[in-house]
Amino acid sequence: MGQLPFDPRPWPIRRNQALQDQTMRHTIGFVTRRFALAKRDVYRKNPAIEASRQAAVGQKRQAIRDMPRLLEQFRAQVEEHGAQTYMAAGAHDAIAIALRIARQAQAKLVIKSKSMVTEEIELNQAFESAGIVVRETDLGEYIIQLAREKPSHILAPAAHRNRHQIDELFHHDASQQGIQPPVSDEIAELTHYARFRLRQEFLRADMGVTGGNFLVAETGTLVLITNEGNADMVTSLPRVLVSIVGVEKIVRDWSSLVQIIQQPAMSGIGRHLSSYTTMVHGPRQSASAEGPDEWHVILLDNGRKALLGTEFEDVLSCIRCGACLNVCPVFREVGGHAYGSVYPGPIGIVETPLLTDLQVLPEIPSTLCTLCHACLEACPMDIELPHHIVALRRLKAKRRLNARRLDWTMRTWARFWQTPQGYRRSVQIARLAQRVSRQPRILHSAPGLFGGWFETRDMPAVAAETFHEWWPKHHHTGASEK
Amino acid sequence: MTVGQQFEQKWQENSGKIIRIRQIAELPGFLEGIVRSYGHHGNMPIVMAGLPKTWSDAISQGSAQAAYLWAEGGDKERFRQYCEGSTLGVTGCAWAAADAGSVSLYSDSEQSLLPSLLPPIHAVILKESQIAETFQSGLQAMYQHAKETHFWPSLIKVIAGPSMTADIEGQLILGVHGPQDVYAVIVEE
Ligand code: SF4
Repeated sequence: MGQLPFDPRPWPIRRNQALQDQTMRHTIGFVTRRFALAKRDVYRKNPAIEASRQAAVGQKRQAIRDMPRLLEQFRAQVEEHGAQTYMAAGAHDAIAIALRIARQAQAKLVIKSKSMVTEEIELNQAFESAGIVVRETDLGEYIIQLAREKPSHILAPAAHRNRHQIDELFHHDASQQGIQPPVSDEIAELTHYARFRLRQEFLRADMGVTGGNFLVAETGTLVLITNEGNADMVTSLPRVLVSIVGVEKIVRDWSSLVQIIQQPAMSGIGRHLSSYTTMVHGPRQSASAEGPDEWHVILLDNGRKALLGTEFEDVLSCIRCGACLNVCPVFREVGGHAYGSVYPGPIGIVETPLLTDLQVLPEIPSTLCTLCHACLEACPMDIELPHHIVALRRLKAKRRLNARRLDWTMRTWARFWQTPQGYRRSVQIARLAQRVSRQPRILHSAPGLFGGWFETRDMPAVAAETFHEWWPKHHHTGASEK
Repeated sequence: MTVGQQFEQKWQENSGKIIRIRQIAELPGFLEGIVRSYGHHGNMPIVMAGLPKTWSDAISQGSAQAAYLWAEGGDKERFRQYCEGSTLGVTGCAWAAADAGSVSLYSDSEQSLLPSLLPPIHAVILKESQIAETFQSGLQAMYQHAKETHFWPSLIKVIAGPSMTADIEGQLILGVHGPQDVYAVIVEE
């Protein structure tokens, strides 16, 4: 069973906080719509991509089934290139291995490129408690590190903060560092400050930490994709490099990589490639001007392998492109923090409970999905997200993980709606209730457990006469079932 | 559209800049112009790596500004310092791809990735014959070559545009960690 960090506050609190944060909602709405449109355009203009995508899905599914063997092959290959590899069963193991490497290397300053896996294992906190400074170098991650927050979107981690708030954070940072603060809160100036500030640390750092987008078993290749170029700094400059990668990133061979390598950029940001795609094969060859002297690859399980052979296996094909987040009507409204997990959006509500055997945030498949199926349409890896969300709800009911009152309400509701008569009875009861509560047109509230639903929504009232009631009165010969 | 034209178009769509030159002799003047317009303060305005000798000689001799070339057996610390203080990094590339508008660089004894990373401007010089029609076919060719020679470069970098971010309010900004401007200089044969 995997370990994942989570926000322990109950869902209604997380939800209300998100809905009140207008800065976040505006930026998330803007960013997600732009990404989603860009994705649609790139696929429409390049119909040939579709064949690659389909091939990639098939090959990735097979690679997941062959995972144990392929991981061994990958390890043998990179070790032959001079790297060291480790298997980490859980988050704690990965942290222990990474800390051991850092201590052996006497690392004092660690620079990191963006990686969801290191968020998952909470690497920064562990290193900081051990007295090692860790610097996030992706601009968005750097901002939320200064603010001590979690990412709100997997591709745009600081989407919930506006330029004024970021300017304040940078001013505070500059005064602590004794350096010149940003000249103004223009976005270009803020970016310039981050470039200058982080450049000093890139040049000084002893150790670099990366995640990974793909691992190629045949050739022993690690592929990293960024737009800022920070992963290139991290792989080129420090003397020790540690890459921490989920085991599901494996692909079988070079030709599988060729089919899949453009999918993250195409589906995530609507470009053929991100600005930088970096492939690491091993530590620096003696005559090269750059690259680490040591390269360590930590392969993290943390609940992933437990999904092999289950109905949820396809979840492991996720390439973290973010396409499902960008089209999700719930994500567009509440952003990432409301999910309470490092993995938000449709993939997050499936993966978070699955990796932890429903121990962490088991409520999110029920609370954060409308079953609209937009994510399934968007997912380049054809992951059956809506199907899994329903399956998780079923699993929760079976394991009695729902509150008893909720269970009872749902059962009663289901009993009513199982038959046409029951449905009609419920309509009559609702009509009576709305008359008693004096809400003739729009319902704003309801008693008891149903009240929660109305906290953030309204609903049209039941009509004085429904179509079902009207029909038999006017069409006596019609097919009115009774 | 020829492969070269397609590359040009895509490279520009990726926010890269394009220059075509007829002969190498035009190169130094053009590079000097870039450095002058950007401004320079240190003692090594131009750093170079992975260029054919005739090209790097032309730049060193034809340019009024100091240029340093990474060569096998060079001092890597010193080269890194030069790169950090320079305005313009000039490199060759192993291959380019027309459909993605990308160039690929290998880290080895002759080619360094640092000039494409540390200076605020990067110019990559290539011949039209180095451009593959698709990124996928370029990757396949790279794999064949690695298999035949039994050698994989320890680091490979594919560049498709300048360093960019949209992390603040979704607004696109160029030059966050790597170069803010990337030029592809196509030498017509
Ligand atoms: S589930 Fe699909 S759409 Fe969502 S991030 Fe993963 S690959 Fe992308």
